[in-house]
Amino acid sequence: MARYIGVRVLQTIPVVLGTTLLIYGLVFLMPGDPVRAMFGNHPPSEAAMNVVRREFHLDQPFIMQYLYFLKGVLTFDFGKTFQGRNVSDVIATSLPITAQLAFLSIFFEIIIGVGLGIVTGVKKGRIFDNTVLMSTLVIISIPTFVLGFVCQFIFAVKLGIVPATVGNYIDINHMLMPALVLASVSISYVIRLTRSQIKDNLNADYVRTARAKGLDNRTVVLKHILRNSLVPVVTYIGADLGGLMGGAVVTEAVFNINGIGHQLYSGISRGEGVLVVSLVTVLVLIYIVANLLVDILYAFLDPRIRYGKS
Amino acid sequence: MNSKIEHFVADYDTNLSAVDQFTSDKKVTGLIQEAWSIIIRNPLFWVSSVIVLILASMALFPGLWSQTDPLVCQISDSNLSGSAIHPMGTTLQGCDVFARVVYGARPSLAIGVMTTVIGTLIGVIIGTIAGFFGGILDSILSRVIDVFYAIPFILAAVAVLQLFQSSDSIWKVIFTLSLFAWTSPARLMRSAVLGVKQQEFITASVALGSSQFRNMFMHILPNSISPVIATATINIGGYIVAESTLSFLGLGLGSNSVSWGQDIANARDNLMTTPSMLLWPSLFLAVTTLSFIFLGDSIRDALDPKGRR
Repeated sequence: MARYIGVRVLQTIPVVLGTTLLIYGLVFLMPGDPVRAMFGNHPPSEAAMNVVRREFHLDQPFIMQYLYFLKGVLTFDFGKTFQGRNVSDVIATSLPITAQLAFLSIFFEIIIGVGLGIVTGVKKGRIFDNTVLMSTLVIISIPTFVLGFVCQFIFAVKLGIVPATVGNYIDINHMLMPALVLASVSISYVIRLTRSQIKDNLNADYVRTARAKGLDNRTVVLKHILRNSLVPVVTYIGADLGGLMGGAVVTEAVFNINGIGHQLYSGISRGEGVLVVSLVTVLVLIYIVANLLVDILYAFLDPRIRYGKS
Repeated sequence: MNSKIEHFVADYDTNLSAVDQFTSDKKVTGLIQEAWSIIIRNPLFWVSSVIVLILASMALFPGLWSQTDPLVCQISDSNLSGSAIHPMGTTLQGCDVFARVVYGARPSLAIGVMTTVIGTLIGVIIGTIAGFFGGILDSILSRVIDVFYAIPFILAAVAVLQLFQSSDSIWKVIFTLSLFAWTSPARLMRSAVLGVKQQEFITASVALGSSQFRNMFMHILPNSISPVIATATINIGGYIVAESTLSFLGLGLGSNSVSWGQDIANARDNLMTTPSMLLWPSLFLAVTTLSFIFLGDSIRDALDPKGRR
């Protein structure tokens, strides 16, 4: 197991280097002189600008600049926004909010996704099964922000059941609808995945054995089928944590939540390259680490992976 | 089904080679013909194909469907509900919603189809090379795929489209989406090639003396491409949704262009007064995406030999 974890961690290093290089390369490609942009319409003397260039290592070749950027990422120092706030401060205040939203979404994925997946998997081919399957496809086909608008319009504006926007109220009452909307596409995938896993396992030899020795249906489904079906589902949900942080860009913009996605959205509309790239980097790193943890969890749950070729 | 195998009882002086001969009126069919005979029996295939054809005709010849110019708007006609002249009503600016939906099909479909074509082509080439040659080349290509795969799609698109904020061209969206769309076909193709490479008919082909490239193009590629084709069809819908999301974030085609994504994004501010502005483009987008999912599903069912039975 230790060997597997070691190999897996080592494999992550080139991916981290590659992704940060890719993202930083995109900033480097950005047109215009960042120092000139910083001073706006009244640029100071060339000498003064050169001092600033030296301060931000802009006079050095690309690869050196990348290494300074990497050092900044590792020491959690991303520079400043246009308003002079430290980007790391922005991240520190907004990330917990997005994390809450993402974890609430994961909760819904487990309760609704796995729950409906089990029911439809066991009772396949009935009206309920087909209705759920069709609904998941419809949800996948609608852009998340449209679903957000519609829910906002129906449940908040027309019916008044839940608040329309979140703003500064980070509590379960305000976060309920945004978390559900953020989770909607993932819930659909979890339902389909759980259902197909259960369907595959339903005819497995070990299930026949369990039934043959006289276990009742409930025990067979919950103790035998479910345990074997859930391994890929757990992997999917775990890996989705990073995806949800990315999807939060849209959800937070719709529901006005001051999370990291909202910072990213306003960074885009203000054209703040440094902020956007820093936030994307942080989100990508979270995504990579979440995937790493899930792979380790996977090996823990399924011995075949651990003792496989690796 | 109607195959008829006749067994001969040979005369004592018959040549040995004639003993095993039999006649059968079953036609020799290839994978494509067999898949076709399955797919034409699937009603979902017909429904989704008809919808896709209708949408394609809107994208190619929008004038057939609507004579109204989507960019000519009468402010005096602001916010009308459906009527004979404006079947789906008008927007706040007095533009005809039906005309905008019809003309919006072109950029949405172009982005979905072009991204899929470019991404799949690049992915198939890289995946085949990685899977076929293996070794160090495979390790390098696989790490490159990992890097591009590790960035969530929307975040990647946000980072790249930052570069083109001044442009309103449809190609900037296609380029950006393709830049990250090739990874999953590459992974699919690589694993499919690895599987096919080990099968007996490839060994037979090598034994018969066919060259490496003949092997790759004539035998391995056609036998491993079917999962990629099915997934690609499903993904067309996904890229259409992605375009609308980018438009919502202000990184799409720009507010002056006519596309479903842009119209949906614009509809947000007037949702209270003009819900039809949100309804129609969203409905068209969702139906299009669903049709591509069903089309891809029926192609997969037809091409997957394991699913037959």
